[in-house]
Amino acid sequence: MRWFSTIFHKNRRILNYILAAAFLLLVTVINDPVRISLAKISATVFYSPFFRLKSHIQELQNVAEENRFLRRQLTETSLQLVWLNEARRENQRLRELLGFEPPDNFRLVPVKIISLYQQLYPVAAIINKGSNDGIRANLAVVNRYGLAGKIVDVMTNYATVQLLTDPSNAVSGRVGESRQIGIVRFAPRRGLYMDNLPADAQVKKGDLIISSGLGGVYPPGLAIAQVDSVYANAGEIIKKVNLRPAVNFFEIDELYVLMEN
Amino acid sequence: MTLILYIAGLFALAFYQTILADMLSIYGVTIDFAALLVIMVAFRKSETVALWFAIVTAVVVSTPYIAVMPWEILVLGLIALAIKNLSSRLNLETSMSKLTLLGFFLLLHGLLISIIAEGEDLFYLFYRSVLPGVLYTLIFAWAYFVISEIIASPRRVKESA
Repeated sequence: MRWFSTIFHKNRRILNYILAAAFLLLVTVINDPVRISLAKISATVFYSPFFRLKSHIQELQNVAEENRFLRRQLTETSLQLVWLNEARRENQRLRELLGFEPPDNFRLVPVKIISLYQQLYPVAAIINKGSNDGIRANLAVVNRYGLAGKIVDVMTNYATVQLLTDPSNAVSGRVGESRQIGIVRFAPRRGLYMDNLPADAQVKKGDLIISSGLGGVYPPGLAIAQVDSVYANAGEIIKKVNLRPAVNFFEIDELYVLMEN
Repeated sequence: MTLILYIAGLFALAFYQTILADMLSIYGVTIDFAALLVIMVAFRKSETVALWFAIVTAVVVSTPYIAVMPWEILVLGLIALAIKNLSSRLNLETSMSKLTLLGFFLLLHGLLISIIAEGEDLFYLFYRSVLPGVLYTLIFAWAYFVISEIIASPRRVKESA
C-alpha cells in the first residue's frame, strides 16, 4: 500500500492527466448514456432552481401582459357601455316621443343642442339647425316634457333658443283646470312662477300650467309647469304661485322646434 | 470553503445560462461566462484544480446541448492547462497582460466551439458572433479586474505599512 501512495504522490500530475483523459474518453466513446446521465445530474443540481425561477418570472411577465390586455379591454368595454347607455337613453326618449303629439297644424323638427349658455341656470341654447332648415325667430321649442323656450336668433346653420329660465322670457300661461290666465316668468332666486293671477283665481298645488296661445308665439296647450305652492296674502289682489317646470333645464339634450305645416 | 466557492461559481454559470444570458445579450452577442470562469480559476489555482474545474464547468455549460459536451471538456480542459502553464512562465501582474491572455483563449474557445457546433459559415460566425462575444467578455473581465484591484488596494497598503 505504501508503494502505491509513493507512486501516487510522485506522479500526481500524470495521474490527473490520465484520469481526465479517461473521463473524456468515457464521455466520447460511450457517448449517449454517459452524456445524458451527466446532463441529468447537472440539470437537477445546478439548473433546476433557475428553471423554476425563470418559469416564475415568465409567469409573472405573462400575468403582467394579461393584466395590461385586460385593462385595455376594460377601458374599451367601459367606453362601449357608456355609448350603449347613451343609445338606450336616446331610444327611450324616442319611444316616449312616439306618444308625444304636436299641436294641430304643427310638426316637430328635431334639433341637437350644440352649447348651453348658463347664468346659474341654463338660459339659452345653441341648436344645430338654422335658416337653411326653415328655422325662424319666435318658433316654439319643446322637448318631450313640455315647453322649453323659443327661437330668438337665427343663423344659416345655427339658431339660439331662449329658454323659459331666461328672466326676460315671459309666457302667457293658463291654469289647466280653472282656465285662468297669467304670465309665467322666471326669477333666479324664486325660480319659475306665475304672475298676474287674481287673488280669487282657482289654483291649487299640482295643477298643470299650459301655454294659453295668446301672444302668437307659442301654440296653445303646451305643458309649461306644475303648481308647486300657492300663497294668497290677505289684502293683496294678486296670488303668488310658484311653479315646478315641466322641463328639467339642467338635463335637456334633444329639443324639437314646432313648425307650422 | 474553497469547494463552496467552486460550487457557487457553477451555480452562477447555470444562473447566467438560464436567466442572465438573454438579458445581457446585445444583438445575440453574449458573454462567454464558462471560459471566463475557467480562465479565472486557472490564473489563481493549481493545475489539478484548474483542470477538474474546467471539466465540471464544461459538463455544466453543455447540459442544454449535450452533443458538444466532449468538445467542451476537451477545449476547456486544454485551455485550463495552457493558462496554468503559461501563467507560471509569463509575468501576469498587470491587468492588461491578463486581459491579453484572456482575449486569446476566449477567441480560441469561441472559434473551436463554433467550428464544432456550427460547422459552416465560419467567417460569418467569426465576425458576427465570436469576435464581438470576445470583446464583450473582455469588457466584463476588465470591469472585474478594476473592481477587484480597487477592493484589494487598501488591503495592500495596510499590509505594506
